[in-house]
Amino acid sequence: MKISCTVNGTPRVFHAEPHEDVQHLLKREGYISVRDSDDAEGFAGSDTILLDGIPVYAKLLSVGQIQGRTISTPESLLSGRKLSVIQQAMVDAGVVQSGYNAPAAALLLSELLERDPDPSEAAVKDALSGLFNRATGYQQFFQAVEIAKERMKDPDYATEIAPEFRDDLRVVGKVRPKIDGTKLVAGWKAFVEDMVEPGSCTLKMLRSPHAHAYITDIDTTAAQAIPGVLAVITHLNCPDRYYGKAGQGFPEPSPYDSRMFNQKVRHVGDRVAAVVAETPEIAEQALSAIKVTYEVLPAIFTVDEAMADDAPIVQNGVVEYMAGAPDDLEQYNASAEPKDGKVVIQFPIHADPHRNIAAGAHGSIGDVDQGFSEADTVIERTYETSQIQCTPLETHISYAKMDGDRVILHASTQVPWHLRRIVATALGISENKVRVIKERVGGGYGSKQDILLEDVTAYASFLTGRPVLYHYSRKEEFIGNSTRHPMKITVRLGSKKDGSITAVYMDVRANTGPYGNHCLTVPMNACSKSLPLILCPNMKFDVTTYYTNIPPTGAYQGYGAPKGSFALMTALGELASELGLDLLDVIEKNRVRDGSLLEILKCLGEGREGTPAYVKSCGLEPALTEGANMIDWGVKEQADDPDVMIGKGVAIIQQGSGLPGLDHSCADIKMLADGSFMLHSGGADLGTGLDTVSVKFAAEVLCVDMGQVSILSGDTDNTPFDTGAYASSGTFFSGSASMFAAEDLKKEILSSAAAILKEPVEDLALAVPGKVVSTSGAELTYWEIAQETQAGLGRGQLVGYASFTTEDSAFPYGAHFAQVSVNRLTGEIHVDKYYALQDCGTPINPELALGQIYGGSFKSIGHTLYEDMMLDDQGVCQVTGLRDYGVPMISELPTDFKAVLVPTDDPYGPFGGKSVSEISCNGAAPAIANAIHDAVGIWIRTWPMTPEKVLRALGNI
Amino acid sequence: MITEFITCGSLPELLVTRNRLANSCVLIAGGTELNRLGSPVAEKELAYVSLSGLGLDQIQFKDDGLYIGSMVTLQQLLDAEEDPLWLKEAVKGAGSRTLRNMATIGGNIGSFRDDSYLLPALIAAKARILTADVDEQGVLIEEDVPIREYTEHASAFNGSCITQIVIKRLDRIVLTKRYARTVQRRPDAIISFGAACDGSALADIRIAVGALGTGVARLKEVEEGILTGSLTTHEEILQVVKKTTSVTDDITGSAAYRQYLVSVTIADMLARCKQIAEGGTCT
Ligand SMILES: Cc1cc2nc3c(=O)[nH]c(=O)nc-3n(C[C@H](O)[C@H](O)[C@H](O)COP(=O)(O)OP(=O)(O)OC[C@H]3O[C@@H](n4cnc5c(N)ncnc54)[C@H](O)[C@@H]3O)c2cc1C
Ligand code: FES
Repeated sequence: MKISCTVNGTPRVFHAEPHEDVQHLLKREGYISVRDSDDAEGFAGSDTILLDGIPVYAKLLSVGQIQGRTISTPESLLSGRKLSVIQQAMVDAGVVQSGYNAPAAALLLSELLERDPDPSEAAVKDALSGLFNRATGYQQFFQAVEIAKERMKDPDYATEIAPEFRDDLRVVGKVRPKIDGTKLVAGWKAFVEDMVEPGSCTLKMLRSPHAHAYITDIDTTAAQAIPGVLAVITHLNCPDRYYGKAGQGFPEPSPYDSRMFNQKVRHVGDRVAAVVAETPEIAEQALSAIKVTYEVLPAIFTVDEAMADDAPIVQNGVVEYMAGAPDDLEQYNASAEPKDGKVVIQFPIHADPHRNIAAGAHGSIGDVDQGFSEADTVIERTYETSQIQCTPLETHISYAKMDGDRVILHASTQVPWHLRRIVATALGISENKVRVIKERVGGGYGSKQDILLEDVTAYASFLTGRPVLYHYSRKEEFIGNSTRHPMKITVRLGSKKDGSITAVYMDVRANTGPYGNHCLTVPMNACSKSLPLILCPNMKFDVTTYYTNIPPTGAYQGYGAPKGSFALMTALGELASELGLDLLDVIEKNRVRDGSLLEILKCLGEGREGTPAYVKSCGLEPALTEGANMIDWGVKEQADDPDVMIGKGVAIIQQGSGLPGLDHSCADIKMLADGSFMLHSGGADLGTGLDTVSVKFAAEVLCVDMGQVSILSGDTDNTPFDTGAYASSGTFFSGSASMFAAEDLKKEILSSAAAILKEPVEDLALAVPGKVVSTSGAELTYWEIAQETQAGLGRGQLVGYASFTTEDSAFPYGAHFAQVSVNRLTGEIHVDKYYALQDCGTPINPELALGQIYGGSFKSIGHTLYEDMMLDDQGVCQVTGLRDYGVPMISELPTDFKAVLVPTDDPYGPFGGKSVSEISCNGAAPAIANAIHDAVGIWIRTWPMTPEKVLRALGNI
Repeated sequence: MITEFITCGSLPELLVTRNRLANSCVLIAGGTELNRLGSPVAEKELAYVSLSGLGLDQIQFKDDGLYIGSMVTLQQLLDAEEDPLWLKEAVKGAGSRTLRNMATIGGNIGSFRDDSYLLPALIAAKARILTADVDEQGVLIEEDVPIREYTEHASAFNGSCITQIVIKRLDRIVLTKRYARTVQRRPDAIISFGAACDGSALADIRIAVGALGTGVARLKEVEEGILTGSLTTHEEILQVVKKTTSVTDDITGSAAYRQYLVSVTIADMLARCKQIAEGGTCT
């Protein structure tokens, strides 16, 4: 049918099938900012447009509905390359981070400001109520609207967006727009989906309907015979190689326990066959033509089921070791089932796959038995955390094409180099034959650390020679994406009457699901990021991870820490209550402080021997003091409704800044012919502002404006190696590499200047704006130096390089306070106040750091109260969309939500900086659990803390 | 799959078109139910017959009540000054303004969803539905149906065209509550309670519940029990709720939890209604 309408002021005539939806139409017509992140669920709002001036979801409109109407897309907000007032305000406020929904948010807010030039917070909430924003939460939108509102009256309006730090520095610690903010909020080409060329093929996956089964027969002939089908890949014809899908440093602590396709399926949604076809429709048709016969096996879903003596074995294949094989391996393998394939273990990780144990770790300091015997009170409690989805707005996506004999992968990844290694391993080719180009990442939160679809996409292109796109549906995210490992954690605490802790024991039982992604490190992290918060000479932990048949698990922001913190900090609350002491006093008595030696870390190396570390900076004292003041700690609040009780809770938290001794980041920086700079960073900015950090560091060192430094990052052909963006390593590792590369270049500049000026290098220094000054009074601009060095007889282009590794740790700390209202009659819980006070050393990008804290805290409020994957007794995930899963939207924001930066100066961090993002996920669960207890006297020890659990604990049902 | 998108110049033309295409077409209002993922018509080949442009998007106060055109969007309902508060409260169950900008009241009723935003409240308010049809000669036939009848005999009205929703008894007390873990998550339960004031006593009680997995339904035994005075506490109400509803466990919670919520909320609403009636502030 012919559709006439006006788009962004231009009359247009489109030809469309009546069943086409408007988002699809607009996107194919080049309005690429109109996206769809939930397959027409009508929830996430990535497809927001204005129809006759009113915001609507384009995906829920059929083309007939726009006949004769006027449409505005986010593209309409721009004047040429200039952002609109609200777009610029969003960038300035730091709310544009991964940015997938930023164009839609800008459109909604611009419609709001048109309707109501002086909107209240409630009006902003209302305007954004149909928009999902996972990365930064929503808090900073209020500020963006305030800024825009004022700038509409006075274009020169300026305000303090965030506190600034380090008076001695020019750009580090200062509020500066995120360098890719404009591109993201404008909706320009940025994500993998924007790179797909016309004529590319589609990959679709046939997934297992069974939680545990052998494929006894698979017939793909009918599918292959369908015109337009290019390949069908199954366990019968895929490369016969085992690899791990966890993007970790090599050698990985995670076992290689799967091939591209396995004869055994181990969860509902496991890969069975991939179809590569000319169009998505043909691919779908081919999927339904594949005939599979299964021998269904009994399945297990919980740690308790996995531990049972007669439990079905999830990974019953031959176990191999790359190093450190036990002497009885042959005997161990006697009972292996060849159809189960293999488990290749890189080095001993206490694995016992034939008893469903994927990994284990055990350690202690002091004498725990002695510690407990000295205690006046001993409590033991068990806590359970649930399986949590990352729910990135941009669902997992991979686009592969061939360049001669090289595979080029456009990827939305946190780990370009691990991805290259794993793809090369999977395909059996060398790494030089693979190029990974990390595009902007529309939300990762850990799940884009894992190689979930790139291996098969790359192979599909390698096999067919065609460009191939594989884009997860939202439903696939729920069955084929890495999730938080569910854990059952028992904590035993011994204490004196005054609250001094004499012994701590933690028993972590983790559920890794079908494969061992991060099976050692995530559960260990539950201990390594919680136990060191308490200074106690006697500590012991046991960590065991079990294989089961739940959907896959892996990395998620905070890694194991949110779970360990929940268990330990809630147990501390229970101890305080048992002793009749104030929780804050008990924390104060036992907490880590500046200069503490964290001895327990010697047992908690990730897959290798750990080292005890000293705390070189710790902002817990100011964080606790300020937080307690903010929330009026100790004051009992009363609600107007007699059924509603109010309570307060607190938790202290920590994380690391990368993995000292394991992580490795490199960068180089070149002086260009006019004296500006091109920085190549291996770091993978997943929206958090890492590229901005790197540019700031280089600009600071080289005494130039940030505009004089451009960056290319995460391209395996054109930038140097980096282990990737995980374990809170961005600022500390990748940032340090950029800083040291700039320092290296600085040396080059000074020595070149010395040669040109014929003066001793010691007399020279860099100065703003981009020049070398001598004590003699002579000066050389960078332009002059570049001209000289790059002239035919000069010393050549000046290049700085750094490869950064370290054994030193920089721990970020925080204190999170919550105030909740609990309705005793209905069980409803409302978060009235949430204060997240965090020490990230020097906040390099203060406004972006605040965004990370808001985002992480809000995500973890979601995990604590709402989000639920829910499997039925056959292992089928009952939730296939964002709505039923229960992601929090702006309506769920705490009434009073504040993130506070508590600066410290870490001697090891670049410019004193430490990590900020992951730690933000660790506080909500224990702070809220403690607050619920304070309100109504019950302990909820499992996630999510629902009204039904409240009612049961209160004995109402 | 949509085979055709048909727009009509008048209501009779639309009704004739709909009759002509019979089961191979469906009326489309905002399209948020029809076009969403998992749409009830996703697998069918259907023509869309559009209700747009027929003037059905007006809210009017008349002498005998409030007349709401079926194409009035949920956001219009929220913005309109004339609307009673309970209706606005029910509309807020649709937590997304963007969705409310698209979703219509007619489409909401026509969807007959178990978790309907509006049906429980409209039943409690004793709203009426005006439908339109044409006979074989093309003569317009209009019907005025109590909403209770419309929902109880949903299949009989399948395909009928709602033109207006009328709320005549604006003096009724109506309370409505939607429980959901997050505003936009699938609701655990929806409860609406309506009553007229007979002096300082309550009369003509209507209780409707939704989101229990069995379609929006009236709790007639509870209504009767309250009127006769045999049900006063939530424990008593719970016994009847358990007997008369067949709720199953689902992702929103267990049956026991949701039956508890229903009964505790009815008891609370009853107490609040009584207070209003006794305070003489019924209108
Ligand atoms: C994310 C999401 C969540 C949702 N959650 C809920 C929910 O919790 N509760 C809920 O009630 N709804 C929910 N909906 C569905 C929907 O948005 C609303 O029910 C809305 O009010 C439907 O109105 P519409 O105009 O969009 O209907 P349409 O999609 O246009 O039509 C819906 C149905 O009503 C019929 N219809 C429309 N107008 C008339 C008329 N005048 N006469 C007769 N039949 C008519 C249509 O033929 C169709 O069968 C949700 C939708 C989405 C996308
Ligand atoms: S329908 Fe709006 S993002 Fe998918």
